[in-house]
Amino acid sequence: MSTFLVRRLFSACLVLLGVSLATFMVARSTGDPITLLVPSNATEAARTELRAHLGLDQPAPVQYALFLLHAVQGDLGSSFVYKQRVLDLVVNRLGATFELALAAFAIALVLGIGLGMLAALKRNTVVDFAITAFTMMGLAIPPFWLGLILIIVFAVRLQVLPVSGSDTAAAVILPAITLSLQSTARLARLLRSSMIEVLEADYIRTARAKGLMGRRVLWLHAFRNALIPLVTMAGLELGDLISSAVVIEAIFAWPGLGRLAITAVAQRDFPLLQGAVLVAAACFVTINLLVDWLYTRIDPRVVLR
Amino acid sequence: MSAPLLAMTNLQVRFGALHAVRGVSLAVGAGESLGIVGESGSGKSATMLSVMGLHDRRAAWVGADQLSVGGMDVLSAGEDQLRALRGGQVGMVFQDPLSALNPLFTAGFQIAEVLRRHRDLDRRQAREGAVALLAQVGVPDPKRRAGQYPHQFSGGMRQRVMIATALAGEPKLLIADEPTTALDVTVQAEIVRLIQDIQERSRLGLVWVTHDLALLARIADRVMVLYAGQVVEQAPAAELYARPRHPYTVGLLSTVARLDQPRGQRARAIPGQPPRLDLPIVGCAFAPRCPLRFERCLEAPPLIETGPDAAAACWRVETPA
Repeated sequence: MSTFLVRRLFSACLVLLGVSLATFMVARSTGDPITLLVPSNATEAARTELRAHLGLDQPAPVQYALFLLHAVQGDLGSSFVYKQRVLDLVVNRLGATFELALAAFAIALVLGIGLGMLAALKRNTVVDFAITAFTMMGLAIPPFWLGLILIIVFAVRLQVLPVSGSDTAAAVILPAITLSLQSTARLARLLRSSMIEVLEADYIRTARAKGLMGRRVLWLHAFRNALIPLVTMAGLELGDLISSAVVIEAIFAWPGLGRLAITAVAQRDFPLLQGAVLVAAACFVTINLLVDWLYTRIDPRVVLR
Repeated sequence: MSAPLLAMTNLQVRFGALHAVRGVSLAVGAGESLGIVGESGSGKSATMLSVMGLHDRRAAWVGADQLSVGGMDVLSAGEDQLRALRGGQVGMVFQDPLSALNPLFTAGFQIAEVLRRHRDLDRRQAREGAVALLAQVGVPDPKRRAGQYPHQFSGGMRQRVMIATALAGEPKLLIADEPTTALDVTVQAEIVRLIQDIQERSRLGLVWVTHDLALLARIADRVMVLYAGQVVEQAPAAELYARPRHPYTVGLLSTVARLDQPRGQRARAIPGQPPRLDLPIVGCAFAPRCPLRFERCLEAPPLIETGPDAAAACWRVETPA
């Protein structure tokens, strides 16, 4: 277990290093932030002074090395635009993103498992075909489009839910549904196929040959086995939800990490962008680590090393 | 033989167009052992699954003039009665214990759940009962082993766990469906001996299903040979080995006589393939592969008595070649 942890932490560091380098390079390819930070009539001297102040006069490798050096000490620098510590800004917004992603994740799990089980148990019936059609649509519909449609129907026409923001508890409903749709569809399809496979397994025949109740065979013997591929997928989905939240947050004006990152891109706020992406990546890596551990709780054959 | 534990008359099993079992009749009493032999697709497993009502009702149609276990009619039984039958009246041991045991639960748990279901024990009693059963089937260090998962057992030990689950409900009838096929030869002998010991001690009715006729010589009182879903010959074991009457049985036995031969060659010993089961069979099902066929084989032969408690479905019984 401890060697597993050491190895995974090492590879997690490599992932974060790669992510930070990519973000650093991509950000600098978007142009010069100075032009956006100073009035258009600013003197060349003022521009040079600001450039030196922000550390942008250094060669890029030096800038990156300095960023890393500070990052490992927990200092992600200061935002060009907000003049605040990046870490504070990011952590502030992280809560809202988590709230949205977790709400979407809960919907995806409940609906995905429910629909997947129902489709598997009623396979090749009208119910199964209806669920399959729904999941196909769920995968085909672009989330941003669904978000706009939901806003038009529920917020504008019916006026039962808020259009945007995060002021009321009800505000999370529309963005969470929008965000969850693709995950719901993927989880439902995965569980349907894994459940159908498990129900054909020899040990299910054994369980029935032992005279166990149908419910026990289904939920204890079959469901737990069908859950194994679902857990891996669910972990990936949660990571995916956090990154997909970027677009959804923009549509619903949800004050999360994604919206912060988008403004950071638009304003060429390099430290803020790097910080936001790095923290999101760290969340993703952590979730994957948790999923691997959860695996061992479900499947005794899995040994972490 | 008084009222048999298992009585089956004219069993028919169909999977859609596929007619897998075509009129099998058999009876097994307490303390008796019946061996059923046939190649894959002969309907032997489908026959045994019918005994416990284990066929998926959407996929399989099962009918019989009579099918009763311990006096209970299986075909008209409700789901509750069938559940009491499965594991309680009838225990079943399957072919491959690695796939037949649930990988996510400990051996002890999988035995204990039968004890709780059929013997009405509480959690603690069931756990102790599971350990006792593991000891009974010869698993060393049963207390520790009860807490282990199937993948932590060797093949032979795993089959012992499977046997313990089958015995946990104190069944009167034990069905063993190729229980040694997936095991090493040396382990096979141990498992055979274990099942024999248990059967003799508890006077269980035993049905042993296999494709290996040589194996049955040591186990079965009576042997029944299935071909294409039909009984082609049945006789007391000694009689069958000494004087096989059906050409198919003769074919099977002639391959058995050369025990040193590798498995792959044995399967090729009888030329040809069994008939397709999704089409009607005209005349004797074995005729196309039979060295002794003649005009009369165009007509399906009934089981013709060949001795006390012995019969063969072959016209050559009446008209020797």
